Amino acid sequence: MATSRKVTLLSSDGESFEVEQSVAVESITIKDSIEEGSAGNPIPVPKVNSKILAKVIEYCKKHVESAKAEDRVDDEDLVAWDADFVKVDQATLFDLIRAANFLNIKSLLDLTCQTVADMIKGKTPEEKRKTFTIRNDFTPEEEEEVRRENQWAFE
Amino acid sequence: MKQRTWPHRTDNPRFTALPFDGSSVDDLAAKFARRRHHHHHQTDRSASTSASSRRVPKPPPPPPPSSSRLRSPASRWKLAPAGSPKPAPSRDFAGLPYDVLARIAASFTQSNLRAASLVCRSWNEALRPLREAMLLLHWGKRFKHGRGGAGANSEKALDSFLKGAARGSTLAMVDAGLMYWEMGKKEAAIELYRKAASLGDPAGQCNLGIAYLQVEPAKPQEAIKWLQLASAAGHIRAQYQLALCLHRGSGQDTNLVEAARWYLKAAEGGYVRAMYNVALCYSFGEGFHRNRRQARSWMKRAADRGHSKAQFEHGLSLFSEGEMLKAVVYLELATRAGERAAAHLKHVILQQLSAPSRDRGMFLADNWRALPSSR
Repeated sequence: MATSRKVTLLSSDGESFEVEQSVAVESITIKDSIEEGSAGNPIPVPKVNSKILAKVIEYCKKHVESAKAEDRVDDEDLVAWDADFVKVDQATLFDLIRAANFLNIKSLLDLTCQTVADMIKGKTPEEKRKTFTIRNDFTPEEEEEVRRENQWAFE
Repeated sequence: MKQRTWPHRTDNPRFTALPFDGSSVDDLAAKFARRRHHHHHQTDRSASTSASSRRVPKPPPPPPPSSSRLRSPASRWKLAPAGSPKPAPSRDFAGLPYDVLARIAASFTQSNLRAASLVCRSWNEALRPLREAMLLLHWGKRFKHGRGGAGANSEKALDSFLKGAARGSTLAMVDAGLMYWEMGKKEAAIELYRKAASLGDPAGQCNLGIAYLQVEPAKPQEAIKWLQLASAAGHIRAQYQLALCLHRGSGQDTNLVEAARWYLKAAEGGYVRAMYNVALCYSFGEGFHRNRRQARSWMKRAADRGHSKAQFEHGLSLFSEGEMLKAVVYLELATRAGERAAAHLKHVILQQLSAPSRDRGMFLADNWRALPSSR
Protein backbone atom coordinates (compact mmCIF):
# COMPACT_ATOMS: atom_id res chain seq x y z
CA MET A 1 0.00 0.00 0.00
CA ALA A 2 1.55 3.30 -1.06
CA THR A 3 2.30 5.34 2.02
CA SER A 4 1.76 8.64 0.25
CA ARG A 5 -1.88 7.84 -0.43
CA LYS A 6 -3.97 10.94 -0.02
CA VAL A 7 -7.56 11.50 0.89
CA THR A 8 -9.70 14.61 0.80
CA LEU A 9 -11.73 15.68 3.78
CA LEU A 10 -14.67 18.01 3.40
CA SER A 11 -15.56 20.23 6.33
CA SER A 12 -19.14 21.03 7.28
CA ASP A 13 -18.80 24.47 5.67
CA GLY A 14 -17.62 23.06 2.39
CA GLU A 15 -13.85 23.44 2.51
CA SER A 16 -11.62 20.67 1.22
CA PHE A 17 -8.49 19.44 2.90
CA GLU A 18 -6.14 17.03 1.22
CA VAL A 19 -4.20 14.91 3.67
CA GLU A 20 -2.11 11.79 3.73
CA GLN A 21 -4.18 8.74 4.49
CA SER A 22 -1.85 7.93 7.38
CA VAL A 23 -2.84 11.23 8.95
CA ALA A 24 -6.55 10.88 8.24
CA VAL A 25 -6.78 7.48 9.86
CA GLU A 26 -5.72 8.91 13.20
CA SER A 27 -9.44 9.33 13.32
CA ILE A 28 -10.94 5.91 13.93
CA THR A 29 -14.20 7.14 12.51
CA ILE A 30 -12.59 8.01 9.21
CA LYS A 31 -10.48 4.89 9.29
CA ASP A 32 -13.54 2.72 9.72
CA SER A 33 -15.44 4.39 6.95
CA ILE A 34 -12.51 4.04 4.58
CA GLU A 35 -12.15 0.37 5.42
CA GLU A 36 -15.85 -0.25 5.10
CA GLY A 37 -15.64 1.38 1.70
CA SER A 38 -18.45 3.75 2.55
CA ALA A 39 -16.24 6.81 2.63
CA GLY A 40 -16.57 8.28 -0.79
CA ASN A 41 -14.17 10.94 -1.96
CA PRO A 42 -14.02 13.59 -0.68
CA ILE A 43 -14.91 12.28 2.77
CA PRO A 44 -17.52 14.53 4.32
CA VAL A 45 -16.92 15.48 7.93
CA PRO A 46 -20.21 16.85 9.21
CA LYS A 47 -20.37 19.05 12.29
CA VAL A 48 -16.72 19.99 12.06
CA ASN A 49 -16.12 23.33 10.41
CA SER A 50 -13.02 24.25 8.43
CA LYS A 51 -11.33 26.12 11.25
CA ILE A 52 -11.54 23.17 13.61
CA LEU A 53 -10.85 20.59 10.95
CA ALA A 54 -7.68 22.45 10.05
CA LYS A 55 -6.56 22.31 13.66
CA VAL A 56 -7.42 18.66 13.98
CA ILE A 57 -5.45 17.87 10.86
CA GLU A 58 -2.53 19.90 12.20
CA TYR A 59 -2.61 17.83 15.39
CA CYS A 60 -2.79 14.50 13.59
CA LYS A 61 0.01 15.46 11.21
CA LYS A 62 2.29 16.40 14.08
CA HIS A 63 1.60 13.22 15.97
CA VAL A 64 2.04 10.95 12.96
CA GLU A 65 5.37 12.63 12.20
CA SER A 66 6.54 12.30 15.79
CA ALA A 67 5.65 8.64 15.91
CA LYS A 68 8.01 8.10 13.01
CA ALA A 69 10.88 9.91 14.72
CA GLU A 70 10.61 7.91 17.97
CA ASP A 71 13.28 9.84 19.76
CA ARG A 72 12.85 10.51 23.43
CA VAL A 73 13.92 14.10 22.98
CA ASP A 74 11.08 14.54 20.53
CA ASP A 75 8.71 13.23 23.15
CA GLU A 76 9.37 16.21 25.37
CA ASP A 77 9.04 18.54 22.41
CA LEU A 78 5.75 16.91 21.56
CA VAL A 79 4.45 17.43 25.07
CA ALA A 80 5.37 21.10 24.81
CA TRP A 81 3.79 21.31 21.37
CA ASP A 82 0.61 19.74 22.71
CA ALA A 83 0.50 22.21 25.58
CA ASP A 84 0.70 25.08 23.11
CA PHE A 85 -1.84 23.48 20.84
CA VAL A 86 -4.55 23.65 23.48
CA LYS A 87 -3.88 27.25 24.39
CA VAL A 88 -6.96 28.37 22.60
CA ASP A 89 -10.13 30.19 23.49
CA GLN A 90 -12.85 28.16 25.14
CA ALA A 91 -15.11 27.98 22.17
CA THR A 92 -12.33 26.42 20.13
CA LEU A 93 -11.48 24.05 22.95
CA PHE A 94 -15.08 22.98 23.12
CA ASP A 95 -15.19 22.42 19.38
CA LEU A 96 -11.97 20.44 19.52
CA ILE A 97 -13.39 18.15 22.18
CA ARG A 98 -16.49 17.52 20.17
CA ALA A 99 -14.51 16.97 17.01
CA ALA A 100 -12.11 14.60 18.74
CA ASN A 101 -15.03 12.74 20.25
CA PHE A 102 -16.93 12.52 16.99
CA LEU A 103 -13.89 11.61 14.93
CA ASN A 104 -12.69 9.26 17.63
CA ILE A 105 -9.12 10.50 17.91
CA LYS A 106 -8.10 9.14 21.28
CA SER A 107 -4.94 11.14 21.85
CA LEU A 108 -6.59 14.44 20.99
CA LEU A 109 -9.56 13.60 23.16
CA ASP A 110 -7.23 12.71 26.01
CA LEU A 111 -5.35 15.95 25.57
CA THR A 112 -8.41 18.18 25.43
CA CYS A 113 -10.13 16.36 28.27
CA GLN A 114 -7.06 16.71 30.41
CA THR A 115 -6.97 20.42 29.63
CA VAL A 116 -10.57 20.86 30.70
CA ALA A 117 -9.99 18.68 33.77
CA ASP A 118 -7.16 20.96 34.83
CA MET A 119 -9.39 23.98 34.35
CA ILE A 120 -12.08 22.40 36.50
CA LYS A 121 -10.01 21.05 39.34
CA GLY A 122 -9.77 22.91 42.58
CA LYS A 123 -12.58 25.33 41.89
CA THR A 124 -15.86 25.81 43.68
CA PRO A 125 -19.00 25.11 41.65
CA GLU A 126 -19.56 28.82 41.14
CA GLU A 127 -16.00 29.32 39.95
CA LYS A 128 -16.40 26.42 37.58
CA ARG A 129 -19.56 27.96 36.19
CA LYS A 130 -17.80 31.25 35.71
CA THR A 131 -14.90 29.59 33.94
CA PHE A 132 -17.13 27.94 31.40
CA THR A 133 -20.02 30.38 31.42
CA ILE A 134 -22.50 27.76 32.47
CA ARG A 135 -25.86 28.68 33.79
CA ASN A 136 -26.87 27.20 37.11
CA ASP A 137 -30.06 25.42 36.19
CA PHE A 138 -30.65 23.73 39.49
CA THR A 139 -33.62 24.75 41.51
CA PRO A 140 -32.60 25.52 45.08
CA GLU A 141 -34.25 22.28 46.21
CA GLU A 142 -32.39 20.24 43.62
CA GLU A 143 -29.13 21.83 44.56
CA GLU A 144 -29.69 21.05 48.21
CA GLU A 145 -30.54 17.49 47.32
CA VAL A 146 -27.33 17.07 45.37
CA ARG A 147 -25.33 18.40 48.29
CA ARG A 148 -27.04 16.07 50.70
CA GLU A 149 -26.69 13.09 48.40
CA ASN A 150 -22.97 13.06 48.95
CA GLN A 151 -23.00 13.92 52.60
CA TRP A 152 -24.62 10.94 54.26
CA ALA A 153 -22.43 8.27 52.79
CA PHE A 154 -19.23 9.62 54.20
CA GLU A 155 -20.33 10.40 57.76
CA MET B 1 -12.79 -4.64 20.58
CA LYS B 2 -14.14 -1.74 18.67
CA GLN B 3 -12.36 1.48 19.41
CA ARG B 4 -14.44 3.73 21.56
CA THR B 5 -13.66 6.91 23.34
CA TRP B 6 -14.98 5.45 26.54
CA PRO B 7 -14.72 1.86 27.67
CA HIS B 8 -18.30 1.00 28.53
CA ARG B 9 -18.80 -1.91 30.87
CA THR B 10 -22.52 -2.09 30.37
CA ASP B 11 -24.38 -0.90 27.35
CA ASN B 12 -26.82 1.28 29.23
CA PRO B 13 -27.57 4.34 27.19
CA ARG B 14 -26.20 7.39 28.87
CA PHE B 15 -29.40 9.34 28.71
CA THR B 16 -31.67 7.16 30.81
CA ALA B 17 -31.86 10.02 33.28
CA LEU B 18 -33.43 12.36 30.76
CA PRO B 19 -37.14 12.00 29.97
CA PHE B 20 -36.29 9.87 27.01
CA ASP B 21 -39.54 8.04 26.57
CA GLY B 22 -38.99 7.00 22.99
CA SER B 23 -40.28 10.22 21.51
CA SER B 24 -38.37 11.50 18.57
CA VAL B 25 -35.28 13.54 19.11
CA ASP B 26 -37.11 16.61 17.83
CA ASP B 27 -39.67 16.32 20.58
CA LEU B 28 -36.92 15.78 23.07
CA ALA B 29 -35.11 18.91 22.02
CA ALA B 30 -38.36 20.82 22.29
CA LYS B 31 -39.08 19.34 25.72
CA PHE B 32 -35.62 20.27 26.84
CA ALA B 33 -36.11 23.81 25.66
CA ARG B 34 -39.44 24.08 27.40
CA ARG B 35 -38.00 22.84 30.71
CA ARG B 36 -35.16 25.25 30.43
CA HIS B 37 -37.48 28.23 30.01
CA HIS B 38 -39.61 27.00 32.85
CA HIS B 39 -36.66 26.94 35.16
CA HIS B 40 -35.55 30.24 33.77
CA HIS B 41 -38.58 31.76 35.49
CA GLN B 42 -38.17 29.74 38.65
CA THR B 43 -34.59 30.63 39.27
CA ASP B 44 -35.35 34.27 38.55
CA ARG B 45 -37.77 34.22 41.43
CA SER B 46 -35.19 32.84 43.79
CA ALA B 47 -33.29 36.04 43.09
CA SER B 48 -29.84 34.61 42.82
CA THR B 49 -27.21 37.22 43.11
CA SER B 50 -24.51 35.20 41.48
CA ALA B 51 -23.06 36.09 38.15
CA SER B 52 -25.07 33.33 36.57
CA SER B 53 -28.04 35.68 36.61
CA ARG B 54 -26.63 37.03 33.39
CA ARG B 55 -29.24 35.33 31.26
CA VAL B 56 -28.41 35.34 27.62
CA PRO B 57 -31.43 34.14 25.69
CA LYS B 58 -30.21 30.99 24.08
CA PRO B 59 -31.42 28.99 21.13
CA PRO B 60 -32.66 25.53 22.08
CA PRO B 61 -29.75 23.57 23.45
CA PRO B 62 -27.75 21.24 21.24
CA PRO B 63 -29.00 17.68 20.77
CA PRO B 64 -29.05 15.77 24.05
CA PRO B 65 -25.81 14.14 25.04
CA SER B 66 -25.66 11.70 22.23
CA SER B 67 -23.74 8.52 22.24
CA SER B 68 -20.27 8.66 20.87
CA ARG B 69 -20.58 5.10 19.69
CA LEU B 70 -20.21 5.69 16.00
CA ARG B 71 -20.65 3.05 13.40
CA SER B 72 -20.28 5.34 10.43
CA PRO B 73 -20.81 8.99 9.71
CA ALA B 74 -24.17 8.18 8.16
CA SER B 75 -25.78 6.96 11.37
CA ARG B 76 -24.33 9.92 13.20
CA TRP B 77 -26.26 12.29 10.98
CA LYS B 78 -29.49 10.61 11.95
CA LEU B 79 -29.05 11.75 15.52
CA ALA B 80 -29.15 15.43 14.58
CA PRO B 81 -32.72 16.69 15.01
CA ALA B 82 -34.03 17.69 11.62
CA GLY B 83 -35.81 20.86 12.61
CA SER B 84 -33.36 22.40 15.08
CA PRO B 85 -31.76 25.73 14.14
CA LYS B 86 -28.23 25.26 12.97
CA PRO B 87 -26.60 28.67 12.95
CA ALA B 88 -23.63 28.61 15.30
CA PRO B 89 -23.74 25.41 17.37
CA SER B 90 -23.77 26.70 20.90
CA ARG B 91 -20.45 26.03 22.57
CA ASP B 92 -22.08 25.30 25.84
CA PHE B 93 -19.89 23.31 28.17
CA ALA B 94 -23.05 22.31 29.94
CA GLY B 95 -23.82 20.37 26.81
CA LEU B 96 -20.71 18.26 26.76
CA PRO B 97 -21.57 14.63 26.05
CA TYR B 98 -21.87 12.55 29.19
CA ASP B 99 -19.10 10.17 28.32
CA VAL B 100 -16.72 13.03 27.61
CA LEU B 101 -17.55 14.55 31.00
CA ALA B 102 -17.08 11.22 32.67
CA ARG B 103 -13.71 10.89 31.01
CA ILE B 104 -12.72 14.38 32.11
CA ALA B 105 -13.65 13.65 35.71
CA ALA B 106 -12.33 10.09 35.77
CA SER B 107 -9.39 10.92 38.02
CA PHE B 108 -11.09 13.51 40.18
CA THR B 109 -10.96 13.29 43.91
CA GLN B 110 -14.12 13.28 45.94
CA SER B 111 -14.14 17.03 46.55
CA ASN B 112 -13.58 17.95 42.93
CA LEU B 113 -16.27 15.55 41.87
CA ARG B 114 -18.74 17.05 44.27
CA ALA B 115 -17.99 20.56 43.12
CA ALA B 116 -18.33 19.53 39.49
CA SER B 117 -21.63 17.80 40.19
CA LEU B 118 -23.02 21.04 41.56
CA VAL B 119 -22.30 23.07 38.46
CA CYS B 120 -25.44 22.29 36.52
CA ARG B 121 -27.92 19.52 35.95
CA SER B 122 -26.35 17.86 33.00
CA TRP B 123 -22.99 17.68 34.73
CA ASN B 124 -24.72 16.28 37.78
CA GLU B 125 -26.29 13.56 35.69
CA ALA B 126 -23.16 12.84 33.73
CA LEU B 127 -21.13 12.40 36.88
CA ARG B 128 -23.57 10.19 38.70
CA PRO B 129 -21.73 6.94 37.91
CA LEU B 130 -18.50 8.47 39.18
CA ARG B 131 -20.13 9.52 42.42
CA GLU B 132 -21.31 5.97 42.86
CA ALA B 133 -17.78 4.90 42.18
CA MET B 134 -16.52 7.16 44.96
CA LEU B 135 -18.88 5.50 47.38
CA LEU B 136 -17.64 2.10 46.33
CA LEU B 137 -14.08 3.30 46.68
CA HIS B 138 -14.83 4.49 50.19
CA TRP B 139 -16.35 1.17 51.17
CA GLY B 140 -13.53 -0.69 49.53
CA LYS B 141 -10.98 1.13 51.64
CA ARG B 142 -12.94 0.37 54.76
CA PHE B 143 -13.06 -3.30 53.89
CA LYS B 144 -9.39 -3.33 53.12
CA HIS B 145 -8.31 -1.79 56.39
CA GLY B 146 -11.12 -3.23 58.49
CA ARG B 147 -12.80 -0.27 60.10
CA GLY B 148 -16.09 0.30 61.82
CA GLY B 149 -15.86 -2.78 63.96
CA ALA B 150 -15.37 -5.18 61.08
CA GLY B 151 -12.13 -7.00 60.39
CA ALA B 152 -10.26 -6.59 57.15
CA ASN B 153 -11.92 -8.35 54.24
CA SER B 154 -9.84 -8.40 51.08
CA GLU B 155 -12.43 -10.11 48.97
CA LYS B 156 -15.08 -7.52 49.63
CA ALA B 157 -12.53 -4.76 49.28
CA LEU B 158 -11.48 -5.94 45.85
CA ASP B 159 -15.08 -6.38 44.84
CA SER B 160 -15.91 -2.82 45.81
CA PHE B 161 -12.88 -1.45 44.04
CA LEU B 162 -13.72 -3.33 40.89
CA LYS B 163 -17.25 -2.02 40.92
CA GLY B 164 -15.91 1.48 41.35
CA ALA B 165 -13.51 0.89 38.50
CA ALA B 166 -16.36 -0.28 36.31
CA ARG B 167 -18.07 3.05 36.88
CA GLY B 168 -15.06 4.86 35.57
CA SER B 169 -13.11 6.04 38.58
CA THR B 170 -9.39 5.82 38.05
CA LEU B 171 -8.84 5.98 41.79
CA ALA B 172 -10.81 2.77 42.15
CA MET B 173 -8.91 1.24 39.25
CA VAL B 174 -5.60 1.95 40.93
CA ASP B 175 -6.74 0.53 44.26
CA ALA B 176 -8.14 -2.56 42.59
CA GLY B 177 -4.90 -2.97 40.67
CA LEU B 178 -2.93 -2.67 43.85
CA MET B 179 -4.92 -5.44 45.47
CA TYR B 180 -4.40 -7.69 42.48
CA TRP B 181 -0.68 -6.95 42.58
CA GLU B 182 -0.51 -7.79 46.25
CA MET B 183 -2.28 -11.06 45.50
CA GLY B 184 0.27 -11.84 42.84
CA LYS B 185 -2.14 -11.38 39.94
CA LYS B 186 0.20 -9.13 38.03
CA GLU B 187 -1.48 -9.30 34.64
CA ALA B 188 -4.79 -8.22 36.08
CA ALA B 189 -3.09 -5.45 38.02
CA ILE B 190 -1.33 -4.17 34.93
CA GLU B 191 -4.54 -4.13 32.97
CA LEU B 192 -6.22 -1.94 35.57
CA TYR B 193 -3.22 0.32 35.98
CA ARG B 194 -3.17 0.71 32.22
CA LYS B 195 -6.76 1.83 32.12
CA ALA B 196 -6.19 4.39 34.83
CA ALA B 197 -2.96 5.51 33.21
CA SER B 198 -4.54 6.06 29.83
CA LEU B 199 -7.19 8.20 31.50
CA GLY B 200 -4.47 10.45 32.77
CA ASP B 201 -4.25 9.34 36.37
CA PRO B 202 -0.67 9.96 37.58
CA ALA B 203 -0.86 7.30 40.29
CA GLY B 204 -1.97 4.79 37.69
CA GLN B 205 0.84 5.85 35.41
CA CYS B 206 3.37 5.58 38.22
CA ASN B 207 2.21 2.14 39.28
CA LEU B 208 2.14 0.97 35.69
CA GLY B 209 5.68 2.13 35.17
CA ILE B 210 6.89 0.38 38.30
CA ALA B 211 5.00 -2.77 37.34
CA TYR B 212 6.71 -2.85 33.97
CA LEU B 213 10.05 -2.71 35.77
CA GLN B 214 9.22 -5.54 38.12
CA VAL B 215 7.49 -7.87 35.73
CA GLU B 216 9.33 -10.77 34.05
CA PRO B 217 10.62 -9.97 31.50
CA ALA B 218 10.96 -6.32 32.40
CA LYS B 219 9.80 -3.68 29.95
CA PRO B 220 12.01 -0.70 30.69
CA GLN B 221 11.02 1.36 27.65
CA GLU B 222 7.34 1.18 28.52
CA ALA B 223 8.15 1.80 32.17
CA ILE B 224 10.04 4.97 31.39
CA LYS B 225 7.33 6.22 29.09
CA TRP B 226 4.68 5.99 31.80
CA LEU B 227 6.94 7.23 34.57
CA GLN B 228 7.68 10.27 32.47
CA LEU B 229 4.01 11.07 32.11
CA ALA B 230 3.42 10.72 35.82
CA SER B 231 6.55 12.73 36.62
CA ALA B 232 5.50 15.53 34.30
CA ALA B 233 2.20 15.60 36.14
CA GLY B 234 4.08 16.08 39.41
CA HIS B 235 3.84 12.62 40.93
CA ILE B 236 6.70 12.54 43.39
CA ARG B 237 7.25 8.84 43.65
CA ALA B 238 7.20 8.55 39.89
CA GLN B 239 9.85 11.23 39.67
CA TYR B 240 12.07 9.26 42.00
CA GLN B 241 11.53 6.01 40.12
CA LEU B 242 12.18 7.73 36.82
CA ALA B 243 15.41 9.15 38.17
CA LEU B 244 16.44 5.66 39.31
CA CYS B 245 15.79 4.27 35.83
CA LEU B 246 17.79 6.97 34.17
CA HIS B 247 20.53 6.58 36.72
CA ARG B 248 20.83 2.84 36.33
CA GLY B 249 20.14 2.96 32.63
CA SER B 250 17.79 0.01 32.64
CA GLY B 251 17.29 -0.81 29.01
CA GLN B 252 18.88 2.29 27.58
CA ASP B 253 21.83 4.60 28.08
CA THR B 254 22.17 6.19 31.44
CA ASN B 255 21.41 9.84 31.56
CA LEU B 256 22.93 11.26 34.71
CA VAL B 257 21.91 14.83 34.09
CA GLU B 258 18.26 13.89 33.65
CA ALA B 259 18.46 11.52 36.60
CA ALA B 260 19.85 14.21 38.87
CA ARG B 261 17.20 16.62 37.69
CA TRP B 262 14.41 14.22 38.60
CA TYR B 263 16.01 13.29 41.91
CA LEU B 264 15.98 16.97 42.72
CA LYS B 265 12.32 17.33 41.75
CA ALA B 266 11.37 14.40 43.92
CA ALA B 267 13.54 15.68 46.75
CA GLU B 268 11.88 19.08 46.57
CA GLY B 269 8.60 17.23 46.74
CA GLY B 270 9.66 15.69 50.02
CA TYR B 271 10.86 12.22 48.99
CA VAL B 272 13.56 11.29 51.47
CA ARG B 273 15.51 8.77 49.42
CA ALA B 274 15.65 11.29 46.63
CA MET B 275 17.14 13.83 49.03
CA TYR B 276 19.89 11.37 49.88
CA ASN B 277 20.60 10.71 46.22
CA VAL B 278 20.66 14.40 45.43
CA ALA B 279 23.24 14.85 48.14
CA LEU B 280 25.37 12.13 46.56
CA CYS B 281 25.00 13.65 43.11
CA TYR B 282 26.25 16.98 44.39
CA SER B 283 28.95 15.27 46.35
CA PHE B 284 30.38 13.26 43.48
CA GLY B 285 29.50 15.63 40.70
CA GLU B 286 27.14 13.16 39.01
CA GLY B 287 24.60 14.97 36.91
CA PHE B 288 25.32 18.13 38.87
CA HIS B 289 28.47 20.11 39.24
CA ARG B 290 30.21 19.28 42.48
CA ASN B 291 28.79 21.45 45.20
CA ARG B 292 29.75 20.67 48.75
CA ARG B 293 27.37 23.14 50.27
CA GLN B 294 24.36 21.70 48.47
CA ALA B 295 25.51 18.18 49.18
CA ARG B 296 25.71 18.90 52.88
CA SER B 297 22.39 20.70 52.90
CA TRP B 298 20.53 17.86 51.23
CA MET B 299 22.26 15.23 53.33
CA LYS B 300 21.14 17.01 56.47
CA ARG B 301 17.59 17.23 55.17
CA ALA B 302 17.53 13.53 54.50
CA ALA B 303 19.08 12.82 57.88
CA ASP B 304 16.53 14.97 59.66
CA ARG B 305 13.81 12.96 58.01
CA GLY B 306 15.13 9.66 59.19
CA HIS B 307 17.33 8.36 56.39
CA SER B 308 19.82 6.23 58.28
CA LYS B 309 22.65 6.35 55.75
CA ALA B 310 22.21 10.09 55.51
CA GLN B 311 22.38 10.31 59.27
CA PHE B 312 25.70 8.52 59.14
CA GLU B 313 27.04 10.74 56.37
CA HIS B 314 25.87 13.86 58.07
CA GLY B 315 27.37 12.71 61.33
CA LEU B 316 30.64 12.27 59.48
CA SER B 317 30.47 15.80 58.10
CA LEU B 318 29.80 17.23 61.52
CA PHE B 319 32.69 15.27 62.94
CA SER B 320 35.05 16.59 60.29
CA GLU B 321 33.89 20.10 61.18
CA GLY B 322 34.61 19.52 64.84
CA GLU B 323 30.97 19.53 65.94
CA MET B 324 31.36 16.55 68.22
CA LEU B 325 28.13 16.66 70.13
CA LYS B 326 25.94 17.08 67.08
CA ALA B 327 27.92 14.42 65.27
CA VAL B 328 27.37 11.95 68.07
CA VAL B 329 23.61 12.48 67.98
CA TYR B 330 23.34 11.67 64.30
CA LEU B 331 25.73 8.76 64.57
CA GLU B 332 23.74 7.36 67.46
CA LEU B 333 20.58 7.61 65.40
CA ALA B 334 22.28 5.90 62.50
CA THR B 335 23.59 3.16 64.78
CA ARG B 336 20.15 2.53 66.18
CA ALA B 337 18.87 2.20 62.64
CA GLY B 338 21.44 -0.48 61.95
CA GLU B 339 24.30 1.37 60.28
CA ARG B 340 27.30 -0.53 61.60
CA ALA B 341 29.85 1.85 60.20
CA ALA B 342 28.30 4.57 62.29
CA ALA B 343 28.83 2.61 65.50
CA HIS B 344 32.60 2.59 65.19
CA LEU B 345 32.95 6.28 64.68
CA LYS B 346 30.44 6.95 67.39
CA HIS B 347 32.56 5.09 69.94
CA VAL B 348 35.60 7.03 68.89
CA ILE B 349 33.87 10.32 69.48
CA LEU B 350 32.26 9.25 72.72
CA GLN B 351 35.74 8.68 74.16
CA GLN B 352 36.52 12.30 73.44
CA LEU B 353 33.44 13.68 75.09
CA SER B 354 32.92 14.48 78.74
CA ALA B 355 30.33 12.48 80.69
CA PRO B 356 27.73 15.25 80.71
CA SER B 357 28.18 15.71 76.99
CA ARG B 358 27.77 12.01 76.43
CA ASP B 359 24.56 12.02 78.43
CA ARG B 360 23.32 15.06 76.57
CA GLY B 361 24.06 13.36 73.28
CA MET B 362 22.06 10.28 74.23
CA PHE B 363 19.25 12.41 75.56
CA LEU B 364 19.00 14.28 72.28
CA ALA B 365 19.02 11.04 70.32
CA ASP B 366 16.32 9.60 72.56
CA ASN B 367 14.10 12.59 72.01
CA TRP B 368 14.70 13.02 68.33
CA ARG B 369 11.73 12.91 66.00
CA ALA B 370 11.90 12.70 62.23
CA LEU B 371 10.60 15.70 60.30
CA PRO B 372 7.59 15.02 58.06
CA SER B 373 8.23 13.88 54.53
CA SER B 374 6.16 12.77 51.58
CA ARG B 375 7.84 9.38 51.90
